[in-house]
Amino acid sequence: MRHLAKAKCLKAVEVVLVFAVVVMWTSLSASAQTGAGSYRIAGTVVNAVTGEPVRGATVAVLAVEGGGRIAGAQSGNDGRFAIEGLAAGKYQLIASKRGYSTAAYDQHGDFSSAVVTGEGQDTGSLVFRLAPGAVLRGVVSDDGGDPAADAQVMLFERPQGHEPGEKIVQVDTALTDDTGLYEFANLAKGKYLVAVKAEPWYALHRGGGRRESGSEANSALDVAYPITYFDSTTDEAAASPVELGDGSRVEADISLHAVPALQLTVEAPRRQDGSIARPELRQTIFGVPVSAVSAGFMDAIQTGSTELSGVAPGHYELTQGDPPRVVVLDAANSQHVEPGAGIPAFAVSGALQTATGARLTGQAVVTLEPADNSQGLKPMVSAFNQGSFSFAAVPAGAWKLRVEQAGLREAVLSIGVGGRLRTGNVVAVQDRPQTLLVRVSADGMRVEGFARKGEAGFAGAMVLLVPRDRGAFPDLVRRDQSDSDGSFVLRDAAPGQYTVVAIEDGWGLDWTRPEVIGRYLPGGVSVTVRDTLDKVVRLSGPVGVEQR
Amino acid sequence: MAVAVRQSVRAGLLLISVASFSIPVRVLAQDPSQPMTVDRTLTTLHGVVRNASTGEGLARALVRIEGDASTGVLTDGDGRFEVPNIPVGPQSVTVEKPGFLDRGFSAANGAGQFIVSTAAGGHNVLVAAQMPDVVFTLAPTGAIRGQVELSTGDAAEGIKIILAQRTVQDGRLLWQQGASAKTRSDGTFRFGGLADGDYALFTEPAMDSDLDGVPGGAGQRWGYPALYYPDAREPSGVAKIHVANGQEGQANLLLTLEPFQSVTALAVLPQGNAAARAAQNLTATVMDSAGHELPYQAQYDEETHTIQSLLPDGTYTLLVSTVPNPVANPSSVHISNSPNREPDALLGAVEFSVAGRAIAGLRVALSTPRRNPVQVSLIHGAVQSAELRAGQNDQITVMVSQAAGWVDDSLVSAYATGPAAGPLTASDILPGAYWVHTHIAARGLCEASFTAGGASLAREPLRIGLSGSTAPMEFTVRDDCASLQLSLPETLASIAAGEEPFFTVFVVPDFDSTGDVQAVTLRASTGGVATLNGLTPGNYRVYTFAGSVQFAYRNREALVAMPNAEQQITLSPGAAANLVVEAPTQ
Repeated sequence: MRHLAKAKCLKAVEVVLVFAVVVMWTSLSASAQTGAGSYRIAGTVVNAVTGEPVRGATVAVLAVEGGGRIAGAQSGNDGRFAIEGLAAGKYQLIASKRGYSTAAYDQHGDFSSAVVTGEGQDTGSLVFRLAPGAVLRGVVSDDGGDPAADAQVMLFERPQGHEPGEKIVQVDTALTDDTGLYEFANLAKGKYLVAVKAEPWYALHRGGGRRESGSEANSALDVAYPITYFDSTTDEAAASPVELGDGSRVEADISLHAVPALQLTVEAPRRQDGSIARPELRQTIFGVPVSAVSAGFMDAIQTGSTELSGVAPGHYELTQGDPPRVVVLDAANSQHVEPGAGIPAFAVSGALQTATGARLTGQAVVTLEPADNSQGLKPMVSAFNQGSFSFAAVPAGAWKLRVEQAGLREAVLSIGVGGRLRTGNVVAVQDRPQTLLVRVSADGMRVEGFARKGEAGFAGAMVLLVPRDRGAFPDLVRRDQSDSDGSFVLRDAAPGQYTVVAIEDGWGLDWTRPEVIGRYLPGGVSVTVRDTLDKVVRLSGPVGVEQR
Repeated sequence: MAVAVRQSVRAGLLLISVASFSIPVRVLAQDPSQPMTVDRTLTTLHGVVRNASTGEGLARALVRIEGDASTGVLTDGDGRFEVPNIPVGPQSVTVEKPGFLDRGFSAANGAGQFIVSTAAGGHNVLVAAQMPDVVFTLAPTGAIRGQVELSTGDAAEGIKIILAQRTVQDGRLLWQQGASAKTRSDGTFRFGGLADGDYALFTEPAMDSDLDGVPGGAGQRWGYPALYYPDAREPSGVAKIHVANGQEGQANLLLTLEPFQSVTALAVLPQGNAAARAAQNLTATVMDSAGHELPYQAQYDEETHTIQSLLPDGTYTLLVSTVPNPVANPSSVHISNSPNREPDALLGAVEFSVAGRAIAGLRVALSTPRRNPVQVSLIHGAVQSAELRAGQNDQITVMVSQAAGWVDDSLVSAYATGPAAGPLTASDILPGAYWVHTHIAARGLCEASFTAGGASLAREPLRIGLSGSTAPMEFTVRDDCASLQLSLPETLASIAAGEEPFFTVFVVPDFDSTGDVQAVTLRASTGGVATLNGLTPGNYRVYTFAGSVQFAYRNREALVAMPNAEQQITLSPGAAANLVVEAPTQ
């Protein structure tokens, strides 16, 4: 089954919020249900690294739909747990223990196996592996070797699954204490990157550009730290990834080096409505926007230009002027940015709709990333809120649009511009503002089936819905993990022709490459997804589980 | 030349000081015939920054000149600095370095139990040509670190620890909640950058796992109760940790795994739509038997009208109300002149004990609290103060602050307000004991007495019962108030090159008074004079400190034990008195 939320992105704290709130206050109504049946779920919680039993872990039984808590138990000194009196049905199992990453049963990224109780179902000897959390810590120091306090340490994770277009994501942020120490605890195994954003405590920036003479002393203190990556490099491409195993402790010290800060002088003209077109300087780390600085307002009113001071050398995008232009800056020196520099940019806004054309509400994140990277542009992010999203200034060119809801990526099926519909997720910004109608895969068809090995249902297999049309690959691929009885549900499928395959232990496969998945297709089951009223497509027969 | 410079400096300093301080006293007027000239001569400011503990020079401290000539330098290896091209005249200088605090003149006062020196905002330095070294001292900050251990032997990662600091507010010592930290993966924690003083800390309750389990029956979970250092379950058992001279204090905690029981209470609302509407804003607070708020959460569910909490064994009071908690910033309190008050306040509480099993049958009857008005009476003195001009908008405001002496008790809220002729209309406040603070906006009126049930509210806190009621309150004002002009001795009233000393003066009544004593700052550049108006006639003790301090002037035992002698003065009804303060030597 697929989780409701992207579990691996949740930090321990967020897990507490999600579960403690949902779980605690449903306990009264839930206890009644517990007595409704005669089936049991039992097994042993073990340390995923050592195999030793885990004492005192809490195991909760949640409803598959909605995630409401139904029952719970605590493991004994031998790691054993048992939940009795369950009705026949399908349940999600979650286990939690201080010092371990809270996880669903047999979890692989966004997927896990639900446990099915009923006649003939063996649910009495589960082995629930909990991975001890990893720790990444270190000391950030400055030029003099002194600790750098209050430095912002950002933790990024490299994608380990094979989601199409999956990006490096920011996982957490920490501030160093007065000894320069930072720590990220309770991390899942994976490859991480660390970046530090800080300001020298003694920095004095020349502001406003109207400084009189006598600032010789000042220039020595007009310094900044460029974004600095582990292992103490300011070059993003040279950042060293830190590999964390389950329960590992890794130290990653970083030293900062102050360099002269830059000043950028930028025109800030008045718009027709009298407002000031204030320049905005943006910076991204591993494609994740981290900061946006607007320039001084008073300067702009008085002189029509403004100065961004205290800027660390680095790669930036600057939006300036009216109509706006976006300048890609590899800033190494103080400079006056020419009003004509950069690429003309236009507003892009729009609405989202589901696979069936219903208007999407709620919250989502819309990202535009350059379709080709020749101009050095970085992705831009807008929040979808109250039915719409908007980007103030998108440079002319081709962009790929991505939509994420609750941490889950939605496939973009088509984009409508001025009544014309285009399949796919590419937006062409040319010479005018655009209003888009973006149709995503949300609320699409469900494909249901069983994974089988020999005569028995097979749990934990990776199940894929692979489109026949190679052009739609990999955006329209859907995945799931088979539950304890072998059942699976592939959600949000777009109409079309597909092959369903099930692969044992297939979680490490790079299935986004057609040649990798191609060799499993002959053993799969064909299915045609049509838009039907009940929104469910049931496979005609079981899907045979193939060896990896 | 020298004379001209001095005069222009005086005018300049006045401007700066007026801009940066707002003290409710009159400043001696300057001679308006003096031209406000500005000297353009540039010179070099030089000196040394020292470690207040060791006396040694401090390397890499940042010395900044604020204002027009905003600039700064780092000290060299010996702590010496030179800032060139500084205009002759008054300058505001700040000195900073991580791991140190600039506490102005505080070193001269020591860190007494009832005096807390506060970090100075900046040093007023009169820059002159050929001036001698300016010496600044920075005090090293201390730290508290510790190790949390769990009875289960599990690593104590992510336990939240809250630090409280002993501070002075409105003349009383109290614990004020400060920073919080979470233990690292090895169970250690650290609070750095601490000024000298007394601290206390406690843990927030922590569940053993993120999920709800039912090992011993419905509604039970396992967790670690809140612990007040070193080993108390209630705030009253907390121990002080003294931090001084940049040292590190150690505070280890052992948390014991215990069952937490589900506690469910039904909020019984009075009849009527208004009550139902008000019930939407109900909040619940878990308190110990002494009335201190505990860090356990209680949540109100609007649909079922129930309050839910998870608590370890112990005795608690669950306070349920629509009354907002006192707000932290008294200046943000909106005091309405309108007699209309919030119509739908609800209040109720229940005391209970948790002992090994879940509690489901609690009922909290909610009712609308009674608000007792404050009666005001006026005593006409034989001599009326010259300023008496009672007008329509003259207001008396009574603020209250929690008197329990624990963290967050510094919160102040408006309690009663009304015209100087009375009565004052009271508003809803959570039950408890409160110190009252009166503010009289009517010029020419001052406090004669303030009592509740005959007892002086300057000595006894006001007790607000569960029904919101109090003993009858009576506030008496008089119209023969006195004034007192304070001035610096002549030796300190003139300005010399270098850092300008300044003094904080507290004029403390030697009789019962619920008005807060205004700290008065005296410095040569503002004339060295300040006047206090609206003082109740009687005996006063005048305490003068170098630098910026907070002073627990309501702590009578401490006042007796003061090392430096205070001055005494008696103000007659309607008098306008003068006092030259005895300033301590630097």
